Amino acid sequence: MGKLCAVTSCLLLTVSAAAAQTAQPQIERLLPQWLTGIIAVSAFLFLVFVTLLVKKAWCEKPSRKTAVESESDRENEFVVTNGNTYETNLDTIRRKSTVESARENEFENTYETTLEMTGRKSTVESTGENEFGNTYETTLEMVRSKEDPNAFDNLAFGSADDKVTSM
Amino acid sequence: MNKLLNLLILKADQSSSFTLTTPNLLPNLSSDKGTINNPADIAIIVGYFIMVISVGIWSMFRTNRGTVGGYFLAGRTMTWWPVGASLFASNIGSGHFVGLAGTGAASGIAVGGFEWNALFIVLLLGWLFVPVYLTAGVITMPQYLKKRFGGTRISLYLSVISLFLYIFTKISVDMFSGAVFIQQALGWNIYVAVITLLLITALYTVTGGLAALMYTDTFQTFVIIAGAFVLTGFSFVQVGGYSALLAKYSSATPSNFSSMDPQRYNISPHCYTPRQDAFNLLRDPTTGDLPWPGVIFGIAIVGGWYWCTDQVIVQRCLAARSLTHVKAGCIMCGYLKLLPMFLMVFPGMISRILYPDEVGCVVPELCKMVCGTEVGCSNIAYPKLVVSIMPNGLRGLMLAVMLAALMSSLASIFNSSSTLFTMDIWTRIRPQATERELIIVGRVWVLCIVAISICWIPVVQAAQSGQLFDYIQSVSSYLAPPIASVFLLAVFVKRVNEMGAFWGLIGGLLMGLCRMLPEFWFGTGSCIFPSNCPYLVCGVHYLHFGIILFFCTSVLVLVVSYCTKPIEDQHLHRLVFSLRHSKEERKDLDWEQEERGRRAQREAEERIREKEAKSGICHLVRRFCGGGGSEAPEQDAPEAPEKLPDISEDPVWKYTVDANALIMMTVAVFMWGYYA
Repeated sequence: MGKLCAVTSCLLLTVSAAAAQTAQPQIERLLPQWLTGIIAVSAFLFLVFVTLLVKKAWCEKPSRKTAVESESDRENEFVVTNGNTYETNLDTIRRKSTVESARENEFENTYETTLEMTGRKSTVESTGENEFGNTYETTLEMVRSKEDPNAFDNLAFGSADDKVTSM
Repeated sequence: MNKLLNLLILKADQSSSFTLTTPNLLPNLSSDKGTINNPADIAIIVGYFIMVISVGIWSMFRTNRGTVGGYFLAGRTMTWWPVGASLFASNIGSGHFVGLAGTGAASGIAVGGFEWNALFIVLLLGWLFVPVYLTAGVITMPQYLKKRFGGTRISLYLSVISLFLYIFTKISVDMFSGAVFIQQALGWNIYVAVITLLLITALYTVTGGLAALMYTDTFQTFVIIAGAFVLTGFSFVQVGGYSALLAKYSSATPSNFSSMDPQRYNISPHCYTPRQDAFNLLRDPTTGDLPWPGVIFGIAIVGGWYWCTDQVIVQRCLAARSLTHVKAGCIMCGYLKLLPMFLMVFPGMISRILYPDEVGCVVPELCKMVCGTEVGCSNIAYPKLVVSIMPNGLRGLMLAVMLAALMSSLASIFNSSSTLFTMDIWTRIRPQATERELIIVGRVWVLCIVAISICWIPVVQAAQSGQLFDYIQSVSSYLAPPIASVFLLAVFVKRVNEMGAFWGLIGGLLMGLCRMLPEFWFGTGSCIFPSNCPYLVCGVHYLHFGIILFFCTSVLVLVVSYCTKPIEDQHLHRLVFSLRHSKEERKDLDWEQEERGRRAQREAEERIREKEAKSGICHLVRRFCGGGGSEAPEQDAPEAPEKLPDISEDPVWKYTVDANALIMMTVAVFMWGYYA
């Protein structure tokens, strides 16, 4: 914008200075009109490009930290398949699992949440004292497990803990 | 629209100032004045009215007009094309046709800069301001300020000044231009014509609410653009093409330019010769009639007020279905705003080429004979073209175009002023008002404002010398910059608080009045009789003054804000741009007032439900007006966040819309560069 102003003001001043003396019908232009148009467009696109670069550079710095952490998350990922054995006391493992498993109804205490963003360690000290019928799933993609009684979905947008307990 | 006010009177010292004139004494303009009295024309006009009314009725059944959200915000269900078309049609009024063409005839294409500046401002609206307004969950702009700052004095000031500006600037300019056109083209009695128009407009505004307006605006946009294209085609054919326009404009001088009364005045050549920089958008900063810093920044500031903070425009964006639709609508409006330069300014210049003795008249006595006022007749440029070069049938179309422009703008202003009055002033007087009462009040206010507009006609006619429009131009360009500044700072700077905003508004108002009142007092004068306003007051060009006023107000706001207590973040979630995505609970600064109002409203509704009249007539009336009462009680108070639109966007559409905006800006920059 500033460039455009500078270019056009220079143009205009020189041109009007030239035209001021004579009684010409119209101000003479140094450049053909389409050329000034093209120059203005190029200046504008250049400014847009610079702005995009600046925006990328600015936003990349804080996001680089989060990018590294989420990578290490994914390395620790593993999926529970059979559903018979579950692990308790997940202190440092972060995982991202979606519930798709065919789980029998006898496991009333199925308790899975998935981790979306970084940051939290899940320390679950769960023992076998969970009540009946507490099925608690939270998934990223809202995949439901239909078999369990008292199942309810929780959509967790922030970070959620990964907790799996065994019967 | 208010940009039009700036262009109606050019107070430049060098060029002739062409003011909007009242030709009410005028029996016959010229020998070929055609009145619309043949079947083809009449058929088209009647067809136009039928279409408008049927679109209005159809849209009545599409939205629920029984709730405040449904009536004032079309239920927030509008897609992008009614939004874009409505933005364009609400903005383009009959004043644009008359004013843009007239000022184009008088001083060249720089006045088109008013329109092309809006291309960028409308993108600011869609990308920066509307997200904040949407997440704030407000219906009116004073409501937004009330939530943002707390307290009641700022929103009261804004409501009052907005209503004042609507009545004295937008409505009167549009009606006046419509009247000029009607008198030129039809020869009708001005009262009959204007009252009929206002009543038809009021009919579909009152019953249909915003939804009806937006759909009829879409239809009227088509009519406006189609008709204007036709006229442009005819006028270019008549003058011999674009290059002929470029060549002939500079020699479009009237044949009579010597003074008839040399004792009183002398006419210098620059008063009637077309400007040398007529085909430049950007003109000399000191000697030009529209200096380029003013055109780029001054118009941007006033445009910022008009597009980003004014109820008429913002309300249409708030009625959209989602933020993506808002942005797409803004882009569509931007593309449409490219057209007025070609559809109105160029035909105005062609009119001066074809009829230099009438449109370009300079001798006061002759001008008075031609159009009824001594200052100049450039504002008959567009009507003259319509009357003279359009064949039968198409003249009716052009009249339909003018009516479309007039009615769409007026209807939008009526609806928005009724929204302002209902939601800001009436709820303050009666906080216990139920939804049904609010809707009724809204409708009654539209009728009141129609009555005020009709009473304004004699005032407008009495302004023989066009002084009224000098005043109107000043009113908007000296009063708008402080409002734009406060809104901009409110949205982007968290530190700004109520004290800062209030004193900034008051300071800006005083500064504006310091310039406005002396200028009214001395009058603006014309090329032949310049005004004797002292240089200190009137020397600075009004656009430059707008820039100065904007910066002074901003400085004042910031200084006072930094010296007083800040507003905490907990009160500002989703009210400022940086916190627009925040999902935390917000403690409204005005929650006490809201709570009292809500409680009073609930009590009142319970009382009404107890003694609900079940008579047949009441039922019929209620059905016609949109079934107000029974469904409403379950809903919360109008500002309650039961349907807070979220401003998340589908990423695919987001990129599409952003890319489109970039393309539009590129086109706009090219046009500016081409004509600079």
